[in-house]
Amino acid sequence: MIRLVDPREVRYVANDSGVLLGLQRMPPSSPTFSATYLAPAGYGYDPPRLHGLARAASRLLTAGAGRRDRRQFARVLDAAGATISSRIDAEVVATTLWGPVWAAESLAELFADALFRPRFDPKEVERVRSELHVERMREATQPSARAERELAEAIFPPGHPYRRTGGGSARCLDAIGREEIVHFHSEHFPVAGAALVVTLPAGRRLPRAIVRRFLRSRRLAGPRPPRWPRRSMPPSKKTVRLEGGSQVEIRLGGPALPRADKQYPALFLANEVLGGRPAIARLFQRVRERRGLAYDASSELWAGRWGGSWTVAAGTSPDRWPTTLSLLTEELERLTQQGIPERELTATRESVIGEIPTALETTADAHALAEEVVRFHLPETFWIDWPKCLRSLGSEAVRVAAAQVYGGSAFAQVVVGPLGPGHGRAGPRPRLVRS
Amino acid sequence: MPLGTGPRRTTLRLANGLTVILAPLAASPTASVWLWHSVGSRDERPGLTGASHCIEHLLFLGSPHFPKGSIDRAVVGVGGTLNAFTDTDFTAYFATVPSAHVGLPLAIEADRLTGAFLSDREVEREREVILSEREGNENWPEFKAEEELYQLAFRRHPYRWDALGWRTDIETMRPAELREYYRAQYGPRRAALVVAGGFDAAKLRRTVEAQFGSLEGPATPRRTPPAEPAQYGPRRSTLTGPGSTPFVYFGWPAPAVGSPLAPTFVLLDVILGGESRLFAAGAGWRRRADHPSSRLYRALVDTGLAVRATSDWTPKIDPGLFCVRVQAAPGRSLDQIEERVRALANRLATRGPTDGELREARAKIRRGAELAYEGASRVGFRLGLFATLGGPSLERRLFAGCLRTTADEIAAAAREWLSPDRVNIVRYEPTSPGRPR
Repeated sequence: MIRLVDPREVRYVANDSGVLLGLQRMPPSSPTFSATYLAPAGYGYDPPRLHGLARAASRLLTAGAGRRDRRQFARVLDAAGATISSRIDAEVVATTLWGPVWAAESLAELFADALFRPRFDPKEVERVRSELHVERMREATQPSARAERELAEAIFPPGHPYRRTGGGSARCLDAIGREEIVHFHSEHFPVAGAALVVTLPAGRRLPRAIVRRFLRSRRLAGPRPPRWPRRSMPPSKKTVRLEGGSQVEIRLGGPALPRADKQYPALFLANEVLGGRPAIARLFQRVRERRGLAYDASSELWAGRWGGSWTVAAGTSPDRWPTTLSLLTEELERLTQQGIPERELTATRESVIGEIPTALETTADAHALAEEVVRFHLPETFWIDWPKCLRSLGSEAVRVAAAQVYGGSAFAQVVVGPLGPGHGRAGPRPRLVRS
Repeated sequence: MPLGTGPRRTTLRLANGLTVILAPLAASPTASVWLWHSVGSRDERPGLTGASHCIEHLLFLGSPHFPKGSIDRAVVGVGGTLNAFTDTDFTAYFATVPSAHVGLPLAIEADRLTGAFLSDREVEREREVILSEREGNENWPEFKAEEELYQLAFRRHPYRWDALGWRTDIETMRPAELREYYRAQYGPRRAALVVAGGFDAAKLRRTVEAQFGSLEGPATPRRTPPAEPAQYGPRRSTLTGPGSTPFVYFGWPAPAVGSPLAPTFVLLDVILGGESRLFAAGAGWRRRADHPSSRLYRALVDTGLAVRATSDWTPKIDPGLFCVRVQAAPGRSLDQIEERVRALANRLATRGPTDGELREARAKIRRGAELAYEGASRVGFRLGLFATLGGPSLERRLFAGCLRTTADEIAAAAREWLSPDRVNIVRYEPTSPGRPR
């Protein structure tokens, strides 16, 4: 048994399977445990004419496995109050088991079944195909979903794994058969290069089923990362008119750095200052708190193994989007040209550092931290060292990182929503009688 | 802790009427402070709909010791998270901080419980933010359908409008009206303070008494809204707009959370839709979409008619709705779905649940009760929610009732309440389903 007491720490455990295992301990009082399997099975691996395949495969993991059909599978989880859920991005499928500690052994068996012995029953394949069609239609008609898709297509060139949002065209979805799903699963799930992270209360042994089903035998090599064109997209501006809604969605974005890049911590701080830190970030303050133009204005930095992207987002009324857009671009310019006053940087940095204890409230919360460590092969004491790393970054280092990624005007701009004439809160508001 | 009771805590009532619940959690690295106001859209009137939600926003924008912007800066600055939400029956403010900083959110709540400024300038600027929040919701067909459903089902009771309020009311409500609403409705007598996490209870109690004990507020009791007249026939409405596939929402008038029938509706929710908000393991207040063993799933998703089928009995102080929400699979019609839902309700009314279903439903509720209290934030949420909706014994009563309720009682409730004569139905028919790309 590995002795770990600080839930900020993750211990890599050697094994012969080719699966990277990371172990995290929660305080003994925690009644729950969690495990996540990170398979190199993201939608970046979708074959060209089968877009949506990876998402379909990931969604079918919990739709029956081993000797249990979907309903029997769900009943075992329900009996323990446990859940198994999958998330997908371009690179990985993260499948997470969460449940009470007393049921860890039987749940770990079920988890292994889901990952390595899914049934892919034809009826379930059809059900998931229907779901994906509905999501595809929603992505075309719902302003924020459409804006996300348009932005990805504006940032990354055709053939790039980050260019898509994981769904497929109607033709692709209709072409996905059980055979393709089974093949994709065998090449992307039970493979070396996958990773497993387990969070257990201190004093608990790793469930035997984890050792037996995940770690005992050597696995075949996993897939190679997809290849993609290295060219970058030119700056672009696109408007998409979608009728029927009330709000216009604005997105700005561009490529960013991979998680392993040395500049990542500085860029992370730049994003927090710009729009990542809730309520105190510049975009929120300027667009919402000072001007009242939008309920939310924020930025996001996504960093993966192969690369990354940044996004600035706001939703506003149809007659205000030009003003809101100007403010968003002004804030981007201010960040890259003027840098960040030391006081503002310190406040943001200390907020990020202070957040670590609140990120350890529950097993699920703490597990998310461990998952990040294992996914990106970060050092075992990454979260213990993170404050020191952030405090070593001065204002200039952050500005340089920001300028490198957000600099110039070479970004993509997407505006989606009811843009036609007659929309918006036209003209001055009725004058309100003040008290 | 015995199931259905929550963690060990101290409950006290200050002389000014404020309910205080302190739940120390050994070794918790965080402390979560919640102030639950028994004020929500239930307390509003036409012309001032959305006032509670507007006050929720304004309470972040200036009070004697916390000028605009300082609350966010202070809490986020120490690594905390904070937010607030408004519902029909309540408004809740919370902050979870590293436990050493527990005094900060307490000071904030004490300052703004009765002292918020609600200046003209902030009201005018925040009005735009709130309109933007509403417009963002209007971009989702589900929001429009939900709003329509409640408008259809309620004719007199304030549950008729969403907590966001009608757009026209948000546009025209005056700062003076909001200040009057705040003075009349908010105060210690109508609030419950819940603190959960790592702290010394005796010390914290003294702090709370010092900070909150001298606050005064309105003495008037909470108004009882007009009762909803009986519904004598089905009501329906159809909305159109952009979207994916058609969907349909059903709403039957349902008992209040304090009714002896409330546990029956918890069970109905679990049997038909797969879970209950009140006893969902580890899920907070959110519901999982898929419950393959539920009746709705088996009748609608398993058969390929729908991609999603859920039920929802949201506990409310006054009689609310029992809802069923179904999204059609591509190419499937809402007529077939309606027919199937009617048949399901009828079957439950005539035959009741099977022994196996009842056993599974109770097991889910047990597990939910067992795992629902992990972490200071969830403890603060649950204790405050139950205290606000029905007092300290509500959870225990509901939980015990769920274990006692029989299959015959569930069938009788389905007969009486899920009747085709009392249903409200909203259909959403997309105008542009299409198969682009």
